Amino acid sequence: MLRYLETLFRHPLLLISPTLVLVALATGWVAMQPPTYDATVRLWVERQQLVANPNSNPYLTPAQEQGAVITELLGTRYFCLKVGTRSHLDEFLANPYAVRPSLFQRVLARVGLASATMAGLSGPALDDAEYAQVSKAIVLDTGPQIVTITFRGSDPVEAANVAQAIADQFVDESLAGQRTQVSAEADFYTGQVKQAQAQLAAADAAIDQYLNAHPDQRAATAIPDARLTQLKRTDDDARQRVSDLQSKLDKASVDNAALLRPDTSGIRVLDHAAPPAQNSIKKLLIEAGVVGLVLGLVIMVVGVLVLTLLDTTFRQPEEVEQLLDLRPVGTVPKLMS
Amino acid sequence: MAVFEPQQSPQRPPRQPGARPIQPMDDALRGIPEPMLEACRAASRLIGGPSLRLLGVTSALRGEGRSSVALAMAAVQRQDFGRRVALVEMDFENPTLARAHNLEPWPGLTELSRGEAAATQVMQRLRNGVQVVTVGVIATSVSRMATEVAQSNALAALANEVDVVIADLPPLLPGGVGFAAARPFDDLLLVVRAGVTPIARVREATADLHVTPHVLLNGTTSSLPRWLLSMLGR
Repeated sequence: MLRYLETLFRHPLLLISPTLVLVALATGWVAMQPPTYDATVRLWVERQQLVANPNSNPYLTPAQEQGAVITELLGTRYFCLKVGTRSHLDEFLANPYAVRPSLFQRVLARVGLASATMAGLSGPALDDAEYAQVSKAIVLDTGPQIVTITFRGSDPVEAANVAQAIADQFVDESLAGQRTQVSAEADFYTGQVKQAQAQLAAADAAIDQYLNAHPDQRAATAIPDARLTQLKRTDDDARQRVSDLQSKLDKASVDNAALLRPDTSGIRVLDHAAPPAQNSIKKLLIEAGVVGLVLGLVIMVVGVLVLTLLDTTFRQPEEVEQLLDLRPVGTVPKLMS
Repeated sequence: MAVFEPQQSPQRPPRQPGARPIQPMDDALRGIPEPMLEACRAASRLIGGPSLRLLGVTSALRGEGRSSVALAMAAVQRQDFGRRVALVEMDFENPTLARAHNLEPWPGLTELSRGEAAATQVMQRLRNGVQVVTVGVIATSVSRMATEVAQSNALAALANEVDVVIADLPPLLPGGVGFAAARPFDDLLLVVRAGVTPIARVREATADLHVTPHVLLNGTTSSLPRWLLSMLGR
């Protein structure tokens, strides 16, 4: 340990300068980028009550579960393009004057090596740009039931629009999924009820037919024979089945109707996205500085390790004893000439 | 006590008649830095102090501060214990003592080992009492010279004249001159330059030595700030 510290203090400039350079480079790079704005929307999420999710993990909080779902959706072109259309990001990106060029681009434009404005996008390039931007949104579960979505854009209004669109699109996707499930359930039970009703009608007809053939069985004091008893049992079963299926169909119909209301998905927007008043340059500078610092420290630690391992000389008398098993009888301190 | 009669040598340079060059300056001794004297004082006590008889100061490579340490060890023996000291230069390849202290280059150890000079004749006294024996005139190869000196009774003759003989030996690496020169010494002080001499070279140098040497680490320094040193309890 002492040897590593010695190495660090022996080459302070060599070991600390990479950290300083990295911090300067990282913050310089951020400072050269066009200004960006962070818009945030917060969602309140609960476990789905109407339609039970078979993939629900009881060990995760609702926020963790839904946060993972949003992140998964943000990785798809389908969702990102929907968000882009909903937030008018596509129109924004198609406008050549909408995106402010970076300092680097402005410098290049000043010397005639680049255009002073960004080129307007269209076609597949526009889709790619939309997907690239929307997919960079950051989703965090900031509480057991709160999911925070942050979108960073070059325009405050556009950033807020996209953040809000991500939340809205997610709610829609979530509702649409539940509605599809409930609708399929209702369709299934409708068919089942019809089938059961037909069976019930057939069972009723069979009893009528048997009684017509055996009028003595109609008397109130008549003892039903085995055949009639069997027919009645089949009829009761069919009736019970119709009743069960009808109650399930009713439940599915109620769920379906309930899901037509937007607040039944178990997801609510608590804080709507608002255009940020200030750009996020300070936050970005701090982030870049921290990243540069951490990277620099890693390089410094590696440098200390490498320099210490490369140093194959004795530094302290105890090392003579440890490495060579020789007896050190003294040390002469380094004399300054 | 062995008596050596000086003999004529064909390689001997002309000598001024009647010159007795035993009044050299002792500035070099006075100029030994106090930290080095202090370190050598501690080392001297650990090695044997006033009972030390024959000490060879060597190193793995050149430039490790061997001659300075030998000089300081001699000064400590003389000043602290009041002993009669002979500082013998045995670095045949690169003798520096005579020139550095304005001494006569001959007669020296070569002449003594060949019986061309007596022990008393080859010792040149510094003002503080340390007797210096220079290399002398080398008429043959240095490796052969080292072997000749080791096999002769020159060191024994010097030891008879003084209380302690301290030799400034050649470095152990490369080659065998250093090992041959170190052979007569039962006490060896290995000077190692901290932060310079590779551990592997020190290991290589000490592997074939006939005795286990004492190590003096020269030029140690701590780059740690004082507050950290005090925090670490050092």
